Amino acid sequence: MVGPEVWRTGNVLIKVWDDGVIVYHLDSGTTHLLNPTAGQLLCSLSVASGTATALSHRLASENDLESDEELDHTIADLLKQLDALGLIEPVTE
Amino acid sequence: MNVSQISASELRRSLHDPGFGIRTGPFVVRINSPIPSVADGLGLLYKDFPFAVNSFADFHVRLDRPYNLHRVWHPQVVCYLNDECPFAPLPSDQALAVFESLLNWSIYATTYHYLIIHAASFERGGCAAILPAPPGSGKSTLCAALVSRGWRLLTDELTLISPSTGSISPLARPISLKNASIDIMQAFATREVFSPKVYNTIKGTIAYMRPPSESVARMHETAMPRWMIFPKYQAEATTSVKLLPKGLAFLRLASGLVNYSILGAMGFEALTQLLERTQCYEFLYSDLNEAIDWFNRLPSTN
Repeated sequence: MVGPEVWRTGNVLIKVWDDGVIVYHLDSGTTHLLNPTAGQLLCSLSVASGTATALSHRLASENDLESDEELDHTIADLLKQLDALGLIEPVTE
Repeated sequence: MNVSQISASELRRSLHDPGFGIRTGPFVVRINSPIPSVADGLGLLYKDFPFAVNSFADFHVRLDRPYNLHRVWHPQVVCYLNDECPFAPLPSDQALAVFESLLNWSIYATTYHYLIIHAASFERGGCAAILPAPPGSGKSTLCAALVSRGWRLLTDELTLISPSTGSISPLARPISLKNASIDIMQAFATREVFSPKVYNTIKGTIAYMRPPSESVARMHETAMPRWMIFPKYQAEATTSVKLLPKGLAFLRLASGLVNYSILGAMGFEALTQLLERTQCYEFLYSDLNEAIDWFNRLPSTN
């Protein structure tokens, strides 16, 4: 069971390249190169906020994958890493 | 009026009092120094640059002798930027290198209307190549070699990118060569003019190659970047070229930009647009002629 938090992107600028996604964190001035999976997750969040489960379903649908608990946990782990970098934040209101 | 139109004695006198301005690309630097080797070095390396006694200046640089025993005993040079003294005194025979470093630092530290890349750049047929690289990668050697074979020098050290147009504003300043590359370039580019060697600097031995007159005459002519080439010199290596994915190129560039984080969103957008319009390569070389052949085969239409 993954967490119920709803996530959204932080104060970031995003540019998609063939080899990954470049993210600029406006608050810290740091730049990150995300692998395509993490990049797709962030891009998806920039379109609409969502929970780990909702995002897992969204990515599964976009990539023609089976949505299952393992994918939910992978997405939840990625969200934790993106949160630690300050690139996403929980929706609190 | 250019620096070459002034006699050596007049140059020394003017530099001492009241000082004079030299225009390098979009900047005017005003210099004041009683040290003859500074005047002689400027006369040699900046001979084609516009000279002005009374003009607005972006930077006020003063290279002076200290007011202590080191004025005469193991003489030192102390440098000032806008009356602040940013660096410790150095041996006076390094005065010319101190001036070049101080001017670099002035541009780095105070310029926010350009994205500044630590990179050489040069142009041919309206297309510019940018060579970003850390010290020791052979960037300046390659730049000097290409410039000696007809490419227009834009800059050896600081590439200035306009965030609004994406073009490069040339500085056309002298090319800084270090250690073994000095003798290599003096043998390779026999028609070019080099400064005397400056020994025992923090970077080892340094000498400067004078920018070609045509590059200086065209220093107000911007150029559009077309190639982003990360060079690496490796002894005995055969020239090899590899396309570099742009996400990786972006990350490499961003980590070496001085004012990128200060520019914030504008810097990110400028860098994004720069990479959208350039092809990115990793370039391994050891033989200058092979390297020049490769560059000369790049398509020259914009």
